Parts: sequence; structure tokens; C-alpha cells
Amino acid sequence: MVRTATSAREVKSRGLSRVLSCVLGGVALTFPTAAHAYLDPGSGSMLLQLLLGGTAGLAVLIKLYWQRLLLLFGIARKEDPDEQVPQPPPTMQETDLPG
Amino acid sequence: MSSFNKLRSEPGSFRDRTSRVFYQEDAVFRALTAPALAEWQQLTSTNFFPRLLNEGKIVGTEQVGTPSFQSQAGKSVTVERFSPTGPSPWVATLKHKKIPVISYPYEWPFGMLRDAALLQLSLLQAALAEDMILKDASPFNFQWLGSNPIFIDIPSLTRLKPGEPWVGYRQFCQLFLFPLFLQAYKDVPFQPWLRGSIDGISAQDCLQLMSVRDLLRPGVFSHVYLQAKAQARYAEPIQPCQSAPHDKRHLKPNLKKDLRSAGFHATLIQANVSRLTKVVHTLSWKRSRSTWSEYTRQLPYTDAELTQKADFVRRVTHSRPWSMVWDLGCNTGAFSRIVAENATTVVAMDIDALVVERFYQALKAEGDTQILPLISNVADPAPNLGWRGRERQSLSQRAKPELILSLALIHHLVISANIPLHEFIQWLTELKAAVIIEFITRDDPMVQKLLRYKEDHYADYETAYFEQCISAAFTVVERQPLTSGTRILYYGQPKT
Repeated sequence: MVRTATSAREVKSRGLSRVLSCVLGGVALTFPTAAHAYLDPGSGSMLLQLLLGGTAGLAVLIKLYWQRLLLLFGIARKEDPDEQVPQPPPTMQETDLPG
Repeated sequence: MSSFNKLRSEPGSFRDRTSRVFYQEDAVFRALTAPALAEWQQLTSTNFFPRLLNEGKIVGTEQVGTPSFQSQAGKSVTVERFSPTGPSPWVATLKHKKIPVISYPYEWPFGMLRDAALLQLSLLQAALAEDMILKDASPFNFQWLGSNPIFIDIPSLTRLKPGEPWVGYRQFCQLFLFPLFLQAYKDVPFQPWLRGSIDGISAQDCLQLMSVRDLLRPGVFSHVYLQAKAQARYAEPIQPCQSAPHDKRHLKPNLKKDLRSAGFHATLIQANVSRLTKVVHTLSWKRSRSTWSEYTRQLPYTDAELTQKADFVRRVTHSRPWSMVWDLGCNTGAFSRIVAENATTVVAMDIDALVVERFYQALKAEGDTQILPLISNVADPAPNLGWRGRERQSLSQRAKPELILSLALIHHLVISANIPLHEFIQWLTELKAAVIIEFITRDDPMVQKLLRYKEDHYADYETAYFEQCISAAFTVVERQPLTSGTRILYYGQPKT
């Protein structure tokens, strides 16, 4: 019945809203300079995918901010970038054609 | 005498630096850099790519040798001339099957954007299942064969880097989802917005359009509200921080790296894509009436006159084969269908979004492959847009017609839209096509209705003057008044 579906969606929406508030609160601790000039809104959309990815996404979200909290408190070291880190867009001279 | 086959680059193909589209005569080619070639090789080894090629959902593409052409001096010049500086970055060439007519999402009715969105999402699912992804999500990557959407931007298909999120999600929302929401939830056609804003509708603007009630509609809370809030909260400065002014690291690459090390996985993208697919499936445009939607219920023609008109159009249709025909003011498309009997492609246009939507749904149900229904205002057609005004072209540059139908239209253009009659004829002449024009005389009830509430400044709207203009511009091969005498059909061929 439509009414029930709406209520269920409402409950789910409020739940997601609360999670987002917690996330935003956590971010406020770790990114003191984040609130300035609006220039690249892509990060918000990328992070939102964690919430939209279901419970698996929530697990990643928690792990993501756990790592950042650990960094903030000096408990964990910053990891070195590994070989698979995407490089900046290749220049015209780059030829990494395999073989 | 050397033949001069010019290589022309596609002005709209520049944003992705890894490939470039160019044309030689009627053929469409794409030059690839080495990274793009690696992606292509990965793509051809998947199962989904040949399957979707066969189903006609991806444009026919094959790797070919690099085309060359002879310059007038007899020197052979290849595609290398399209490299900006230094040695050529292009290492391979693809050839694409040509699409008869290029169209843009701001010309599409609601159903076409929705079906393109569904194809985008199903392509994503197919790619993700084989460790690939579409790196962008833009309706400009889709074209049409009749009422079938086709994906054309092959370099968008790239290997999925482990742990990377779907970078195209924001673009999908701005160019597909939010315009569809605007029309499905607010009953406001999206076409003017997409024509005016090359990046579509932002989450923040879309949120402004939504009421509290709309937050409960499928997809609005997650993709509009949460995304607008997340974007505002996570907006990043690109200036280096003050303590390390030479530090060029930006937050965004760190976020991607952090997401990966936190275990971001393709299944999260698949979950989101499934959600979006369900949402888009529910979307429909519920408007039931518009200015022109009821026209065919109260036609100003007797059955005999309709038959006369259809026969006239059919005679012209079968007088010779036509490769491209425009039907201006197509309404239900009755005459587009007639002319399609002997034409390769028909572009059927109308100013009324509901009428075009209904025509599209009818064509889609039939599986039509010839008629492309578009929303277009003859008095204000889609202009050149985008970077340097060349990225998106006007219709006459994209689809040069051989025959134009202007049936029951001229009185609206001259009297309602105030276009001078001789200018309309002049515009038709410049298109260098044959024409079928239906002139509605002043005695006709419809013309009298149009004039009823306006001051009659339309001295040029007279049968004699019209015949003078059309005879000067065209060779009138056939002229037939319908029984009522107030509607006259003319078939004119361009004077060479």
C-alpha cells in the first residue's frame, strides 16, 4: 500500500540523513579547510556513492573515516602511494602500449 | 587531376584528449592515442562488447588502417595532422558506422532521454561485470537509428581501476536524471534547460525545484537532496594551503586513493546503478493535453480532403528516392510515415513536446528505424552551441534535407510567430531542397481564428503574394487546391 511504502521510505530517508550527519560531523574534525571556496563538487558525489552502495558501502565509509581519524591522532602513518595509483592524465609523448 | 578527399575533424570532439573524431567524405573515423588503444584492445576481448554490437546498442566499430588523403600538391597526408604539437600521439584508427542524423538531448522528447538513460545504465552493468566502466555519463554519447538509441562514444569504455568510484555519477545526474525529474515530477519540459546549460542541472538547482512532497518521490532524497548537501559540504579549494604554497597535491586524488584503501569495490557501483535503473523505470511524463495534442481529433479537413492531401504527398514521395526529408510541424506524423515509404531518413519536427513524445512512443512500439522525432521550433531552431559555437551544430548543418514538408504551418509562422512570408520562403530556398508547402488562404476558418485577436498587419499574407514568392524561388511542378478551396498544395523544386 502506498502509505506504508511512503512511511518505510521516510524512515529509511531519516536513517540515511542521520548517517550523513554523523559523517559530516566526522569530516568537520578531519578537514578543517574543507568548507571554503566552492570549486570541485565531485568529491561529494563520490562519497555519496558509499551511502548509495548499500550496507557494503557503509562498511567502506566507516573504514575510510576510521583511517582518517587514526591519522589525525597520529596512531597510523600515511601510506606511500602504491604503483596502481592513477597518474595525472598522460602527456602527448607518453606511450605505455604493452608489448 | 588529383582527387582531394579532405580530412575534417569533428569540432565537438576535443574534451577527451585520448581520441579524436574526424571525417573523410562520408566515413567516420576515430584516432586513438596509445592509452586509448590499450583500452580498445581490452574492450574487444570482452563478451559484452560484441554482444551489444550485434544487438545494435553500440555503434558499429572496427579497427582500420590509418586513412590518408592526397593534398593538391600530391603529397600524402595522414591523420597525424591532427596532433597539436610535437610528434603525433595517434597510434591507431577506428572506423565507426555513420549515423544518418546527429541529434542532441535538448531536441529529444521525454521518452528518448529516458530510454537513453536506461541504455547508459545497462551498458554500465554489462561493463562492470567484466571489469570495465564508462568513464562518463552524458546523453551526448547517444544517437538514434529511428527510435533505437545507440551508444557512440567508444573511448568512454575503459578498464575499471580497482577501488575507484564511478566518476561519471555526478554527470549522469546532471544530464540525465535531474532533467527527467524536472519533467516527470514537476511537469516542466527539460529541453530548454539542456539547451541553455551545457552541463545540465546541478544537484543544488534541482533541489531548489523540489518541494518537501517531492523528497518522497523515488530517487529524490538520495540523488538530489543528499548529493546537493554532500557537494556543498565537500567543496574543495584548489589553491594550495598556506603552510605549503608549492604543494600541488589536491584533495580529490587523495580521496580516490583513500576510497580504494578503504575497500571501495565495483559492487558498490553496481548497487547504485541498480537503484538508478529502478528509479528511471518509474519515471513517466503524465501530461495528457497540450496545445496541439488534440489536433487530429478535430481536423479542419473533410475525409476527401485528407485523401487528396495524402495522395499529393505520396505522388511526390514516389517521384524519386529521397535520402533526407524534413517534416515541419509533423504532429502525429501521418505525413512523415507517407514520405518514409520512399526516403532513407525522415526528421519529423514539432514545437509541441507532448505531440513529439506520443509520436516517439508510437514509433518505438513499431520498432521504426527511419523516422527521428524531434522537438524543434522553426522560428527558433537549435543554434550552434558550446566551445567556439562549433561543438553543437544547427540542424541544417547536421541533416541537410532533400525535401521539406511544410504542411499547415505557414499561417502559424507568419501570423502567430510574425515571420515575414518572403523570409520564410527565403529560408527554404537557402536549404536548397524541394518543398511541399500547404498554403492556407485568408478565407480559411483557422486563419480567421488566428487573426481574430490580433491587429491585421499581415499584408504579405495573401495567396497572390505567396505564389509570387514561391515561383521566384522554386519551379512549381504541381499545384493543387483542396476541395474547400482554402488550402492549396504546392510542390516546388529548387531552381538550379
